[in-house]
Amino acid sequence: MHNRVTMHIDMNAFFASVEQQVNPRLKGRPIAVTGSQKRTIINTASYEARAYGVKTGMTKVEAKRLCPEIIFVQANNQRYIDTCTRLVDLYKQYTPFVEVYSVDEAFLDVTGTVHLFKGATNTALGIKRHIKEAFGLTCSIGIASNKLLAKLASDMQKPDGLVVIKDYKEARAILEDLPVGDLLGVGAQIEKHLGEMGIKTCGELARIPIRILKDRFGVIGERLHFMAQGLDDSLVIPLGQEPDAKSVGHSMTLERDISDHETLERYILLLSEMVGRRLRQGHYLGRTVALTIRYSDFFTFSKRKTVREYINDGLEICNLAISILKSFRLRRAVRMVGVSVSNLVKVEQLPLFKKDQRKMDLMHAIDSINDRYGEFTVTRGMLLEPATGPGVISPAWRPSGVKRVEY
Amino acid sequence: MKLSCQKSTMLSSLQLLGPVTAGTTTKPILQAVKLEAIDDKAVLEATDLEVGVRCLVEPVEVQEAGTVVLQEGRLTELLREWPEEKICMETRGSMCLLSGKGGVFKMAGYDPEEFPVIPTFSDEGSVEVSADELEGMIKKVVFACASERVRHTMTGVLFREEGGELRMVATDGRRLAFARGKKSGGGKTTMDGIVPRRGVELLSRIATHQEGNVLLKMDGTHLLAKSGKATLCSQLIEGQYPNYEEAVPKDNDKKVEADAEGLAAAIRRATILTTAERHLIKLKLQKGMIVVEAETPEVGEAMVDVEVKYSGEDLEIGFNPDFLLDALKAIEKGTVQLEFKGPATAAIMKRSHDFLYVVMPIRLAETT
Repeated sequence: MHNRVTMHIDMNAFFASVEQQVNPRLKGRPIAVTGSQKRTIINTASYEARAYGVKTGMTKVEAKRLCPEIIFVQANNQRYIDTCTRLVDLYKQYTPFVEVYSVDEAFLDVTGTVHLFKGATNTALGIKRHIKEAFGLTCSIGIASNKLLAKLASDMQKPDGLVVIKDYKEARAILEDLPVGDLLGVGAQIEKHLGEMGIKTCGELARIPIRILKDRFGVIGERLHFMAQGLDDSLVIPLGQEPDAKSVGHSMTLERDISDHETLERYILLLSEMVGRRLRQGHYLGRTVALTIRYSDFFTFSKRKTVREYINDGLEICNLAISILKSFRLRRAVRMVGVSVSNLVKVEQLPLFKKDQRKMDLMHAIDSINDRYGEFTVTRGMLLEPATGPGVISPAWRPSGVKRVEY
Repeated sequence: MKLSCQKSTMLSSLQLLGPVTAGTTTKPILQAVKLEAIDDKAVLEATDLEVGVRCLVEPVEVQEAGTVVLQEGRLTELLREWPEEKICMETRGSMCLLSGKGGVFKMAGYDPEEFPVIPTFSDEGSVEVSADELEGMIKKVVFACASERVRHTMTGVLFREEGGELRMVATDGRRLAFARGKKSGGGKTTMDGIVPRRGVELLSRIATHQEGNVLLKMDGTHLLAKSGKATLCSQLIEGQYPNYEEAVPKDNDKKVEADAEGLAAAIRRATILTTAERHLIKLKLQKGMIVVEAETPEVGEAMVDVEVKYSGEDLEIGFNPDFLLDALKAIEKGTVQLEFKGPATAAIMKRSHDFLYVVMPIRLAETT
């Protein structure tokens, strides 16, 4: 077994637990966090509610039927983001190698620091105690030699778990009957293709010759072969040290399903401003804009448009995204919308004309105000309309930095 | 209509019209050419509604006057494949008949009434420029046009007659090219308008393929040009052209003289070690030398010394290498004068009186 000590920390029922901490009346009671009062899908249910069978993705009506006394709470993104940021600060007291995987999950590489805390198990217990004291929250921690297995381990005991996978022998026993879809990085598409090949479990996958997987899936096939044996050589990459981004994007589940263009365009502007901001933070410009739409029936698709000139101004990104939106007819109400920019370059070409120079200066000035006083302290008037309330942040959200987003 | 002529005569006129029909897809009739036979001459026309070209076909024998509108692509292709030197075309109702050793071809035509009218050229109020001069000017500026519709006026070239000379300006908002040319004749006229890039390119093509000087004039909404057998009419782009004079720096005090070819070769070499993502070279000005540098993570570093005439202070400035190479290509040979001020202000490249280029730098990471 490798000497790397990798931890995966998964906050239990994160959104619901945070809400229970903030509002003591919700403690110990079955609650469910929804996108907004108008949203009917449950985002996270507390463990009290889960005991009744309430699950993520259920409608409010279904939840109410299972658990009549359930309390619905509207999501408060800022609260989760703040908590996440503070949790990361806490993890950093244990190791500098902290990878924020999503708003409620993180990977820690504690290889070099584990001896300071009397071993891996003690480190994990320390972190759990520390989180409990500081936030009143519980988490499940998995410890293994790589990210793939650490994630598996943390999934094995919820809530408030601590599982150590000691060696590959143990790992293989766990993987034998594990559905392939439970592996980190195996999406619905790959799971479907594997299913067509008659492969349902990791054990079955591990026994397929690597050549067959390579023929079918290319480079990914090779990775699948190793993953099925519990092998994963990907590193824990701390924030800000990610390789250069291929694309920068944001997506958002809307407060309610929307079919009118005007409201949708306002959300697109909001997302475009967020994307533009992140591009500028990473000193990037891009020239391909993609718009992703998810309909109320969960049908999801992306369309893209490439221009000659590189941009990083939110409004220009927005204009392109809107021109994409106008290029087709919406077949249903929209549930989620995403904007991303790819084809990135990392140089800042200065403009020739005063008008453009002033625009650039203005953008830099707004950026530094927002750096200091918080995002959207200064923003476009259009975004002040109350109609553009925040949707639920994407689970792929990160505190800062440029993130690779692939649709 | 009935006419006969040499195949090559018809083909050489068609070739001039080809680029006009090639770009249109919306209306089928715009992919067609109009062939009109009157008395002892024939005229070919094509238009995409933005640009129209008319070309005389001569010598030609007209047996019967008339008009036919035929799909350009097929007509050209058929004539290229035609085994005889001489061709004879005649209309049969709405069809056009071409027959001989190559076979019998009946081609469906369009209604000539539906073909858009192209304004005619009259010499009155035009200026005269030599074909070489005009081509040279166009070559010096046209590459700098913007390609995005967003900056609509910048997608064309500004034509302006001022102080008895012809001026052309093109910019994409990051660099600007300016060319001056002499008139060879012509009377008083006002010329001030933005010509779309396609119009400019066709004008250059006509000047190249036809003999003699080019006559130019503007009528407020069109640029009209005549050269040899061909006339061109291009719509003008409406709108205010950016104030380009304001963008030309007046106080660039760091003046360098370099050999254009040598500098271009050095930049081309250094550019090999850049990527699409980081398309950037650095110029380091030192006494008697410019060091062209490229530094791209995971690709490598390049450093090329170019001897120049320079005695000012050191300066380090970043550029998109393509922007510099475009201008050096326009200059071709001889000495290029470069003028700089600071790392974040516009630089000038020029050759004597006829060419001026303003280019904005790329901000270097060290200076942000």
